[in-house]
Amino acid sequence: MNERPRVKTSVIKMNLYVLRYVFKFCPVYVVASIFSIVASVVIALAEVNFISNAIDLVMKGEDINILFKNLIIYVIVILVGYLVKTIYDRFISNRYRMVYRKKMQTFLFNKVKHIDMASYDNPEFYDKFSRALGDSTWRGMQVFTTFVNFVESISISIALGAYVLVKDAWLLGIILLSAIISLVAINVINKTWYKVYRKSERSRRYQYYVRRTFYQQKFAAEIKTTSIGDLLIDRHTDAINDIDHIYRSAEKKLLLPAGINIFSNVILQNALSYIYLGYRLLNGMSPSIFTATINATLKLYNNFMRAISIYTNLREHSYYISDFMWITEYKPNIEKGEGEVLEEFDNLEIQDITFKYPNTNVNSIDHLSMKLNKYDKIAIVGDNGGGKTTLTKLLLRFYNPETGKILINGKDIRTYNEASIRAQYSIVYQDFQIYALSIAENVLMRKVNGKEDEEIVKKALESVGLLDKVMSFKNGIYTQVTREFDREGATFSGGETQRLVIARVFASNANVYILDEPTSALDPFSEERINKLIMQNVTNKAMIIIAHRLSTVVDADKIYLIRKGQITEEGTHQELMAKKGRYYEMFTTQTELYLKKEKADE
Amino acid sequence: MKYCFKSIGLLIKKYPGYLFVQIFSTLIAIARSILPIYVVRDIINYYNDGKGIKEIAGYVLIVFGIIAVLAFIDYILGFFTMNIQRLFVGKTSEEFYKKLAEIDYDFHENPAFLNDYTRALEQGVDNIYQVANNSFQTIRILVQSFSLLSVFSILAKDNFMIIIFAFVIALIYLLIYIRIGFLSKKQHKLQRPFQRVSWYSNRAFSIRDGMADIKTSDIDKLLIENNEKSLDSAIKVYDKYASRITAWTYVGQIFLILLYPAIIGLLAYKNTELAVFASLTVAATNISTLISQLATSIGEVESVLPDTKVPFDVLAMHGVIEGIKGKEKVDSFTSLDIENMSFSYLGDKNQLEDISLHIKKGEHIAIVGANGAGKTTLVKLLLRLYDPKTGIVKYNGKDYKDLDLKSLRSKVGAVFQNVETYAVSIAENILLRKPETEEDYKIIDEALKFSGLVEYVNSLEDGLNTELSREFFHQGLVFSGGLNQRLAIARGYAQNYELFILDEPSSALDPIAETEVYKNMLAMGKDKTIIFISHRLTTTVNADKIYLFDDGKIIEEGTHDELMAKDGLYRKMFVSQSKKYIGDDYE
Repeated sequence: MNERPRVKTSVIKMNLYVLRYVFKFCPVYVVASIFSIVASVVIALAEVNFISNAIDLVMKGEDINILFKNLIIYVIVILVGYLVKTIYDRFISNRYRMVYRKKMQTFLFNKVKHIDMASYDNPEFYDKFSRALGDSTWRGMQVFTTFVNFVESISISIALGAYVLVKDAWLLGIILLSAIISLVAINVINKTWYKVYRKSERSRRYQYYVRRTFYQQKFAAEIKTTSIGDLLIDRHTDAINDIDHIYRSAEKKLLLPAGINIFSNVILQNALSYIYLGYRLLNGMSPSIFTATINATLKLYNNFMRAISIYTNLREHSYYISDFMWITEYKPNIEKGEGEVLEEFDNLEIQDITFKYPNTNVNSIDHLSMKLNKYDKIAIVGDNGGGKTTLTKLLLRFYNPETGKILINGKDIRTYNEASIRAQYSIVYQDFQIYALSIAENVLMRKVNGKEDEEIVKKALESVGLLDKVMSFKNGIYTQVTREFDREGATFSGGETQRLVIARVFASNANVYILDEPTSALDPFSEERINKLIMQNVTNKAMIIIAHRLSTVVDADKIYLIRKGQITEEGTHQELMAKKGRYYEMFTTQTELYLKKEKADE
Repeated sequence: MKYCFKSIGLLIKKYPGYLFVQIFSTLIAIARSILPIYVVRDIINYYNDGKGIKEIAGYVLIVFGIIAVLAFIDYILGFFTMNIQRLFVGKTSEEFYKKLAEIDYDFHENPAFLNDYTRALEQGVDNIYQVANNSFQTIRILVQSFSLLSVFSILAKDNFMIIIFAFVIALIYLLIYIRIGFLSKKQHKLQRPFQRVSWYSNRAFSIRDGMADIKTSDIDKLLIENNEKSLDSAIKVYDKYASRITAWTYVGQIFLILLYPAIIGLLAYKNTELAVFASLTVAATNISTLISQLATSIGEVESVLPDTKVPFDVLAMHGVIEGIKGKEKVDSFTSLDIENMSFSYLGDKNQLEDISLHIKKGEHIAIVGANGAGKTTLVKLLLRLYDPKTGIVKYNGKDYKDLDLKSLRSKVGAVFQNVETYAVSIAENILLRKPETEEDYKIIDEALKFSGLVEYVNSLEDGLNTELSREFFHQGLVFSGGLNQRLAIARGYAQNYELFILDEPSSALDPIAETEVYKNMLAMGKDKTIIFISHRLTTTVNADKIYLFDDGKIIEEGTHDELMAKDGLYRKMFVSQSKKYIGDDYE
């Protein structure tokens, strides 16, 4: 990930790559930019030209009317020119920044769906990805602005250069010479800063981390009651010192190139131009041309430097663009959106699958086989880290198994369109999320369309025992969840949130329910209620339920015990109990917790 | 304005050198903008006086030599400013963090408050610096403009019209910018809520745990649509205000642009000498640049200024509970008594009502009840994150309020329901400070054994020194739910609390691990007093005393046998949980 583009072409290529999106998302802006550039050139020329003309006229003692005529033309040209510039700079630029942001967000968000789950397991990818998501919403416009500035400066330089060239070729030589020297010095300076930036990045991010920690409510109690706050501040101080050291040692290195830059800028360019023009003045150059040329020279130099420094900007951009390119050019293995559409789930068969996560050595799933028919209710139990959740991810085709096959209706799921497979399932994840949307939308996970949907939501909320609470809010099922955007937003306790998430399942019309630890945060009464609901009321669905607490699974049609990625026991509760194996052991351990016994230390 | 001065005050107080750097660079800036004005005039004068190229070259080199030296000094001063900025923000942030740790807990829990404050707080110190620095910049530009205007006036001598004209234009331009500042403040305020939606969307699409939802449901479409709608609204606000701002800006530009031709027109009319004329045009260019810089600089101060109020407010806050030195350090734990305690969050109904309970050294207490019964609120009161509304909490017979908070919390501590890990090493995550002595490592080792993490940690390449974050450390690790919970238990153990509270300590553990942890707890013996808080009744059977909470009240208390005999809510709960294990007929 630390591969930085070194070759010039690749830097420029990357920048051009991102420009494509500016052209695509904001064509109007691109056209407007052309007008703005033309206006800038016209203004620059008009100013230089007018001064020299005016001085000439004054010197020659011409009729004041001619001067005023000149003046009026100048004023009109300038007023129009600045009108274009102001509208562009003050209005159009920022407006299209917002348009670009909007379109780019939508573009990237749509990409997210098509990134393989396996990629998220790679921390480097994840780093890149979240950085790109934030940065890309404006970087393209920044690149475009850099190019516009470049074209503008170059155009002005050429126009003014032509003006100066007409007056004196030597002068242009002086400017070019000092510009080249400055350029070399500035390049050294920029490189040094870039290194500083890279070197101090980790410490800077750590500072932000500490800041984040102190401002978040979830850390507040521990910070107040333990010494963790002091530890974090210590680490923060280390980071400050580290950064300070990096900066100070860089600053010493910068003195020489900075000195050279100033020398070339002030002495070579400024002083030499003045001396040279003074010499010309002595040799018969008219004072009016002298003044105008000095004016043009200063402008030319500034524009020229601005144009030349573009490369530094482009290189900085390219570093970020590489992340963006990586996402846009991403080729998924799984999330391709191709294949046959699976219409209706009938049965599922897992045939001897093996799977391990990228960058790990241990098989998370190891030669596992299993069957699920249309209305089966199966339970999966086992230790932490035994592979239960991994199995559900394979069923959803977040990953492909390394060996073996998963069949739905007798066909390998790899032949189906992945979205159509997932449409068959409704899932309660262990790490569930709620969204800053309305309650109804959080339950449906889509837009609410009409009365019918409202009924579905209400019914689902009722079955998990949340309807009364929800209807007590002013906006009922349309109450916003979280107070992030709405002061009147609803906040739910841990157990209530979990029930809200379970309601999603009941509101869906999927054929298979997957419930991964659905009752971990529920109190006994809610738990019993949900268990009953799942086991008794849901008759026309297939179900896979994962649980630590075995009381949840007693009534399942079949129980699979998974250890180290393998099925070690399977059967009904009665069969497994009779077997007196691991399941029996687990069950009795849990039972013992409910039986009074002699204390261990007595 | 008040916060402007406060920001400057804080910066200068911490880094007085900053003031000198600013004064110095202001002087340099003035010199650098005035010197060139004279150069053109003097060259033409030399020429008019019939001097040769040597004199001209000598003069030019001296002047530009001075400018070069000043520029170099200015560059170095830039380093000073940069270093001061970095250190100021860093060090002041640390003070800020300490302050945040010392304000009362309800500050963190008040959502209305947080909504308005969080962002302002997060950027707090940066904003303070920004305001101070931009204020200085404004002052510098003002001084610079004023000196330039004076030079301009001296040069223009008898051309009063020009002088007045230049001053009037500067004034009008400033007035226009005040108007613009007002408009953009309004614009930003109106746009902000929409922008927050856009940030939220980015977050929602980059949370790893959210990916499964995005892949398996249509929530992505909904979020995208919301985001687009919100940004469209933002653009609408923008259109309305930015068009007005643009119009005002243009009016300002016109005045500035007219400065030039006006000078020339007036000069032509007055027939001034060329040397003065040349100088004046250079001066006019510099002045117009400065005026627009001034407007930008004031605009920047204005845009951050409102956000500096909050950090200063926080710095001035005093906790009622936190950060107050109690009179009395606490001794070893012998008893805890809660007497008729009631508590409510601001304005809400009572979360806890008339609670009385008594705990003696060595007891194992279970507090059980449904979600929302007030169990976690009780923990917060036991840790004195809140004070009760009525009633009293006593440690060894002494009112909590009279005790030194820090020493109280070194005796009474909790493992929280929501386990948080920190981006520090495993050892530090357990000890919550840097391990220094042999003793420290011994405690960590015991804690790891206690929570059943020891084998796992030993199997790691960097062992105890493994950093718990992949964000900053490539070799770092991120723990899963079960490991996190064990870590939290180890943390609690290593803190060596005498009254040890465990709030739902086992929800993410598998049954075998859960049992193991409980066994270890019970084996801690009579030195430790333990409060288990849970909605599972597995902790209760062997507890010395059980308190059943319902709707903020203690409705049943006693041992397991006593409560089962009572045939109340406890029995109902117990049966509902245990019947799958031991059948409907208890006893």
